[in-house]
Amino acid sequence: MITRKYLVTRTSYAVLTSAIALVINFLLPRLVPGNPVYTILLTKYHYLPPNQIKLLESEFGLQNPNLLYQFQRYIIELFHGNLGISYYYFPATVTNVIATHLPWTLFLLGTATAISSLVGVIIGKYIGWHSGTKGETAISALFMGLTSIPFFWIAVIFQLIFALYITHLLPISGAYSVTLVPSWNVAFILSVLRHSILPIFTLVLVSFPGFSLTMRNTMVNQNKEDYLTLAKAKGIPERLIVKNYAARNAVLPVATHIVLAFGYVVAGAFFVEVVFSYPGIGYALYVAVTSLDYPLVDGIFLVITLTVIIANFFADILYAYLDPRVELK
Amino acid sequence: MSFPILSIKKLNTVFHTPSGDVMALRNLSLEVNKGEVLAIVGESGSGKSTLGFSILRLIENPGEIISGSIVFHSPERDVHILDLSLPQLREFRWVNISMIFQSAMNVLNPIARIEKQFIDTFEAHNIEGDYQERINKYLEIAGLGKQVKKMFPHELSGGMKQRVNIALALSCEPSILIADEPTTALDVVVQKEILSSIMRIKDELNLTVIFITHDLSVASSIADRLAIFYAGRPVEVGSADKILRSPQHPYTTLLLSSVISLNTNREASLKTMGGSPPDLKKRIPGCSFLERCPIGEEACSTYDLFPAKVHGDVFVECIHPGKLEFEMEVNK
Repeated sequence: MITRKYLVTRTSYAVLTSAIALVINFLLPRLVPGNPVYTILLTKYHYLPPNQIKLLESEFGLQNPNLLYQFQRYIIELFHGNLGISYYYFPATVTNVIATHLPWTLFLLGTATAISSLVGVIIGKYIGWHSGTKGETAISALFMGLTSIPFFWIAVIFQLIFALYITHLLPISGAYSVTLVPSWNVAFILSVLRHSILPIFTLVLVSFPGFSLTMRNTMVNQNKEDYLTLAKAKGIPERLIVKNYAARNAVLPVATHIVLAFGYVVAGAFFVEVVFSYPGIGYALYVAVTSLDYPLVDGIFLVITLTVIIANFFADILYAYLDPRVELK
Repeated sequence: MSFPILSIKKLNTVFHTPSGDVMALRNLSLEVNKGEVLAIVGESGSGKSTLGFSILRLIENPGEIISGSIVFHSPERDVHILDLSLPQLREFRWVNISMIFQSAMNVLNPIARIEKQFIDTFEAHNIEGDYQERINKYLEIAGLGKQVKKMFPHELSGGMKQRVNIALALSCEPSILIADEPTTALDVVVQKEILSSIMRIKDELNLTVIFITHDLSVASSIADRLAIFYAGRPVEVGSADKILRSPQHPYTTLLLSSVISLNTNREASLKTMGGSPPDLKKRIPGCSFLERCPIGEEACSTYDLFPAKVHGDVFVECIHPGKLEFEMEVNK
């Protein structure tokens, strides 16, 4: 049951975790050796006079290498919504870069996670209820195989099959046709949908079996529960026993799994977006890391951490809502 | 004159295990009379719970009822429970025969409010009328306040949960109530209260109760008739008074001798029975109690299991009924 006390405690946990994450996010990229001004700008301009380098360093806030000083500036600017200027996408701000990339990721991975969790739970419920049959054994084995396929490998195979060699049915990469200008018109939306089919399909294919198998396992354990025996004895129709007794209880641990999966939407974007050259946050992260773009790495890590923390928070709330036994100890 | 409300004939229930089939009920025949409390007494593995589950056809894989018949005699017609189709069985359950389970703690759906667990039962059987009123009525009969219906199972104590189960078992007004060790998981004080509730309700609602227990003293305090189970068969069935006063089967005799009471001589060592029940995976020729029986003899091993009638309504499955003398403790 969701009580006021429960909410307050969960919220303070989330805030505390965010604070710790902030510190780590700040420190981590600074442990990587190198200086972005030298690596990026020198490769761009080949030669810059020393006074201009100094100028750039002060522009990026690197003139004082004292970490504490940098952290203080970081926190102050953060609360002004300023995450700094991206080295790579210079002169765009980090906030700007994230704002243009994040919606693509949320769309692509959000849709994929929603589909795979829904499909996964429904199939898992069904095979869990019929566990022990030959069909179930075969399906479970197949799913076990599917979950162990590396995503990027199957993605490349699908690209070859559906976009390159066998049929040109679907676009191979990108989020929309390069000939179109992003706007809310039919042609653009259709192009976006067409481009999302292959990545979403691939994502669903490798992630729904995981949900299915979790749901299957919790469903199988339901068979041993005494309340199922009572439900049968009471003459409840099987359809309702599965729905209101078995599945409703079995879905509890799976629900947490699902909400957390939504938390990893941003974090999990990396492979998909790199393989499909999809202009999401994962792709931006790839670019940022390879070009030592400290502010962008910092910013993206912050977004990733926050989504995970927020998802955790919602998982706790959802769990308390679904299971009346959950109370704050 | 008593009329049977439930007739069980030659019932065989087995559990298929990797090391062979366990014959949990072996050619069991038993009649339950209308309005009585029949206590089924036996040790673990004697098949008493299997019988309860078999009556409602709740035996699940790897268990199976392989043969026999169970007939429920309602005023309108005889229902052959084992011949019912699954939809018929679903409709038959609970409104005719309901059950209180041993595991009071775990039989309620943990995520549904108590009232919901009543309502879905009513809906399953198309019961008409005011559901809330009905729930209140049966909660009250079971000794609970109506505020309980808004609660979740985890908010109730063990005793309260078992009362909810009783209310639930009665709520569709069945003719027969099977109580499968309803008090085993509860402490003695609650046990006493639950037992007296069941007895009071039984009279009020004119129920027939099949009370399954391993506790002979509980059985003797409430039963009209006793069925003593051993190795998947009733070895002695009859009026509780008569069996308790003069047990005829050596197993019953030894069982009764091992009961301790407040009057038991504390200096004397407790009486126990040696040996253990037979392996039900093997076919048992003759009397199943032979191995442990102090008066067993050659003839017992070829004895064709058949209950012999002794004094009035007591049936005993032994060639020497009453031969083993019973030294009763002074029970006042």
